[in-house]
Amino acid sequence: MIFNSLTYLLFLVIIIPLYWMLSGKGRQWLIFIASLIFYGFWRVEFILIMLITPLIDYFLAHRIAKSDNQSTRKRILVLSIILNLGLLVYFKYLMFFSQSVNSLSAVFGWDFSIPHMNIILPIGISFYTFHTMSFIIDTYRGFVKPPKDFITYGCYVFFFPQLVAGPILRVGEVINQLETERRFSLADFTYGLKRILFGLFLKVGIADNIGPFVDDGFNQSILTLSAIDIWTLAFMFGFQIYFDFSAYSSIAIGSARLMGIVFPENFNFPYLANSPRAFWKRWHISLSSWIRDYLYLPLSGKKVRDRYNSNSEGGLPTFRDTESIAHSFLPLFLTWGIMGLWHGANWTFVFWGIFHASLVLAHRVIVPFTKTFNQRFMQFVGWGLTLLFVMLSWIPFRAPNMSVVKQMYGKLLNYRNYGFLGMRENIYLIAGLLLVVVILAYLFDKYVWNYIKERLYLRFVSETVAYTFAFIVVIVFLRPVAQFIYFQF
Amino acid sequence: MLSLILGFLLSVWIIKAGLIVPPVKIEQVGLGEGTRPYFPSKFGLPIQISEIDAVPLLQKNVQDHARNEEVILWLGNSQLFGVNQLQPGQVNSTELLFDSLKNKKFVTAFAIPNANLQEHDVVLQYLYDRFKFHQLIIPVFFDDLRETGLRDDLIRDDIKTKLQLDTPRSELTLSLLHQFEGSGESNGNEETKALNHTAQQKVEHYLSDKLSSHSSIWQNRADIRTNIIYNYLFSFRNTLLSISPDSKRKIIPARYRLNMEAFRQICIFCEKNDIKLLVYIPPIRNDVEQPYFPDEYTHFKEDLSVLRQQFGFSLLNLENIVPAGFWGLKGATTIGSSGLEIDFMHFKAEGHKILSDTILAVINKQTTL
Repeated sequence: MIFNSLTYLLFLVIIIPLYWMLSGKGRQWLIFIASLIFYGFWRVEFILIMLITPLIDYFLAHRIAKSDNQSTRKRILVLSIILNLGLLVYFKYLMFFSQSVNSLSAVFGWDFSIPHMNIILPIGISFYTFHTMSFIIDTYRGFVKPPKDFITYGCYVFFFPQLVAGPILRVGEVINQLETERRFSLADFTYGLKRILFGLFLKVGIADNIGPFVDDGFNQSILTLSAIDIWTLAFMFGFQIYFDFSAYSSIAIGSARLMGIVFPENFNFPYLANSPRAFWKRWHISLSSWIRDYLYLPLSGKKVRDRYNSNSEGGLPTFRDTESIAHSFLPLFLTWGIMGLWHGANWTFVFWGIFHASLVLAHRVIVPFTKTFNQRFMQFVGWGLTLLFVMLSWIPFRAPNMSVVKQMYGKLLNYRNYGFLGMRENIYLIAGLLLVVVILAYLFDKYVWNYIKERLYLRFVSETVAYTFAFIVVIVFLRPVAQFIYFQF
Repeated sequence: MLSLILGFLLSVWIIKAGLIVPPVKIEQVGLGEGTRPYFPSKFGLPIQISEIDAVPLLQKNVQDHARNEEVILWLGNSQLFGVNQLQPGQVNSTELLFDSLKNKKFVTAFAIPNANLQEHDVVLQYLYDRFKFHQLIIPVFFDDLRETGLRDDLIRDDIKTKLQLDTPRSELTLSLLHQFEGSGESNGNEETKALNHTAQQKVEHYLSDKLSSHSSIWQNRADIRTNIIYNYLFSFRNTLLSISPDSKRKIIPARYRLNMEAFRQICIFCEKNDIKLLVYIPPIRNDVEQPYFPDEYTHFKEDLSVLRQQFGFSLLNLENIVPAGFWGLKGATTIGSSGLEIDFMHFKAEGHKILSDTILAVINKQTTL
């Protein structure tokens, strides 16, 4: 089910009152069934596939918890990981791998090709696979104990607000809350509604209206684009994906809060980050922390802290500057390559991951040399450079293939391509305005909002004006014309 | 919570009371105030259309009523269907030409707003596969050379197949095919495009229809959306950048090149299929300074002359045929302005008559002015 639809709003109108009418186990059953219905609105037949791995993982986790034998525990863990990744590879990457093998075969002139396969990608598979993997790994690490019944566990994996596009939550972040008998709180309920309204505003009011400009630009022949156009398109898509995904996260946070369940934030003004590392502490926080704890740290041979009782604080803070750059080189690039591939079965995503790994590495190398400079100035320079490079990284993320990426980057490197414009003027204006809006929103949040919020009357008036505006936009523009971008992952 | 409820109630009241936007209909927005679309029909079927989905009706009209007649296809943009200050009984150029040529030739037209020559090239071939025409009339608008690519309803499998057959592939064909690669599949309903192939689609349609039948706000959302974009966003842009109808528009070199290449392809197509080609530089207001850079506009006309020499088509320069008084005005497009602005594109029925008569004279004589 898509959040930006009447169906979802009606779904909430039915589920939320029912949730508060029930208690204890009844609520968990309701969440479980509602989540399956939510998923079934996409494709009913895929519900069974979605149930397979969590069901097996649940029983394997119990086996791990009961076993005292370390090698048995390890074997079970490996079995679970093979199963999870096996299904993910089958649905998401098999076609990609077979196409890559066929291309390679053609290059070397081998008489070998894998037949074309037409496999439908179950929506949200990357997300629920990460959920269930984090559960079994944390059980193995001894950070969590598996819940007594499958329904509680199922609510964690399938909980509808985060089922198809995150945030990627840890067992500890959800199950404790599900097992606690929660009482209705008007403050939580109101906050939930506000977050849903805000998310819908970002999605239908901003992201969906930027989308056609981005599509037109990327669909336009590259021969007709100038370097400035490519920069503009990179910025435009950067804004589109930010508003789109943060909208999704906001609606997910709001929907969960209507049931009294608190989700951690997934975004924190990422385009105001002053380093690549800071960017990943502000962008898709739940993914970067997941990757850190389940991929980077194990690959680096480091111990993972027990985060059972803490939220996924996000970012890559454990990519320490004090460590040897050479030592962290391989884990860094491997982690980011896999993270890229997690996003989509295309070399463009792998390239995107490696691009970011290079940014993180470059930052680590450069920072020690800037210690003697004025730090305020360096923060400003850091912000400008991070923004430019992060935006540039969106080109492989959006481009259909590496050939297009190569052509677009190639244009940027030729000074002659800076002398003309290849698109209508509106797009440059919109990109500029969006950048100003993002900066102003950050400044407002940091300097103005605290002042307003302490003055009751001013706060009431400001909020009423803002909600009126947001409601107008949502009422007029609400329609499922575009999926959330992260649905495809 | 109170501010949230109040915000909701206020938003509904504001939309319902029409306080967001003046009550303007969608079809007026694109054409400017006072200009109305006019699509003539003959024998109960259209002779002029603006959407590819309406082609079967046009095709049926031609097949049923023009068996022994010479068929003329007139391509164009909103100038061809937009009539300023349209009065009852008044018609557009297409119908006037049709009536003038009755019993000798059968005039059909396909006109889409802001049509670029790449679109004309594709539409032309698409139509020729469905019914044969013997003469093509085509305006080359300097304005529309700033547009590029195909609009959504031209992103069709049959058009893609045709482009794929085009070998060797020119820069133009590659450019158009690139657009097909990046376009998603259309399910025919743009409002619920994201729900294509999902079980949710039916439920969403049902709920939306139900809501529309009970709420005028929901029913009129498409009008309100368009109005918000035109009345607020465009006005905001125009105010911010001091854009007015007579602001000079620079050519976009790469788009210009692709469009001129498309025009060349049109010429080649006509030559190959023995279609008489009548090209005209369209009328433009001549009592005020033109919204183009003179050297660019002159260069454009020279380019057309070169192509004319190469392909030998009839080329008419109709820039000055419609007197100032027959041109339209449109509502202000900047914030705070309440007056009317010059419309460089659309004229009154009298202007349509002049255009039609001029074309008629040329067809009758088949000479170049």
